[in-house]
Amino acid sequence: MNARFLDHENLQLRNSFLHKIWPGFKLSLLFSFSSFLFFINRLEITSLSLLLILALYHFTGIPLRYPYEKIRSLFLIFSFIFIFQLFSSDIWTSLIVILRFTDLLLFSELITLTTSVSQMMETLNRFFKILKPFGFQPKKISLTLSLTLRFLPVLKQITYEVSESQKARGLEGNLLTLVIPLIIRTMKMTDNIAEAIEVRCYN
Amino acid sequence: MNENHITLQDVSVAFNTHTVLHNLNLSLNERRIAVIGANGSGKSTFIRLLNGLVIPNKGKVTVDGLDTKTHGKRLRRKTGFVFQNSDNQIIMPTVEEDIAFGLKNLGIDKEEIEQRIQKTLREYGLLSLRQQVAHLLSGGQKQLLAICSVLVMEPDIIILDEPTTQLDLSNQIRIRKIIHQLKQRVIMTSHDFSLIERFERVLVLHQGRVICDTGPSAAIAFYKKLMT
Repeated sequence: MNARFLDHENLQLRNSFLHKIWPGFKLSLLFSFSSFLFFINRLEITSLSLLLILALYHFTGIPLRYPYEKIRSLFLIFSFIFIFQLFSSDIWTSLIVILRFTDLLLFSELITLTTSVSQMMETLNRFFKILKPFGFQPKKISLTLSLTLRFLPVLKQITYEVSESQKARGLEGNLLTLVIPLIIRTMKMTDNIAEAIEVRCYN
Repeated sequence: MNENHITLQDVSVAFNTHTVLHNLNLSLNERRIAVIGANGSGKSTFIRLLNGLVIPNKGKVTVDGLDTKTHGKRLRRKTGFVFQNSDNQIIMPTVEEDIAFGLKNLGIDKEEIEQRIQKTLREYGLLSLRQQVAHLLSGGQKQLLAICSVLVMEPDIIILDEPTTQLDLSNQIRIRKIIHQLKQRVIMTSHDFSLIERFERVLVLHQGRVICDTGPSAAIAFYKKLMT
């Protein structure tokens, strides 16, 4: 199985029972589950939740290697949190904290994998419309979220390009030489994006 | 009111103390107009004047009778703009959302948006990529999407900023063909002589001034001589 197969976007194009569930329900479920996890302090429940989530991955047709890779990429951070927790509490509480993070991460990943961006935007738009009397501007929030989703991979690519060109100049390892060109290129890009939004008649 | 006519009267543009365009006086009514010139000659600023993205410091630009200074919004409905870097022009995360973005801003109803998306994507061979995430598209597909997102809004004039610059040969040929087949009036900057040679009028910009205004063959020959 190659890396491309495990791309978030490629997995998102699949069609399982979870893909077919109403996105509003899935997002509410995610919200409820996150809140539920916050109040649960029992190892058997957090472990059982993890098993359930992995089962959902399996039934959705997403290879279990995908959640495994996700957790592996965060192994260092999780280890840090675990050690930090050990100082302030016991080993079981530390385990519960890590499992809680893992559950939350994998479940939210599963929801985003099975809900297209447009569905998510539409649902959030509806939600923010309810909040309009409180000063929320659904259109603006929706555009901001869309732009974030659209340009995160572009920023990642720019970071890679800048890092490569600095490496070619023998400047690897210096954070400033990466950050400054990155900020300049990003600012230039935001000007172009603002123009692109304007020419497409955004009011 | 001058319909189907673009005029620049005594137009100058300066950024801070640097003057980018000097006293341009032009009347543009051809259906295919190209602007060529070296990097930094003012080509991009020139075409940005035509839809009000850049407002002249001096003089007046009118497009089909609309002053760019006072009718920016109306002008942008009339003119579609394709940027040089399609990556920055694609605003929405997926192909269909990006095509729909401009249409939603125009206040078009859902049913018509759907019809127009289908029609445009089918016409330009992007239907199979409808739900594709934009950053996974190839360079040629991104440029095609950028053009589609503009065409779907049905503007009267299409302005393109070096549309074939970042493309490989096969995509250059594809985009050239599409540009030649456009029903709208086209104003374009380019370094692609194969694309320009079928245009009606070519302006050569040099240090912010139009130094040659003629047909494509004469303009290309003049420009080549200027650059060597």
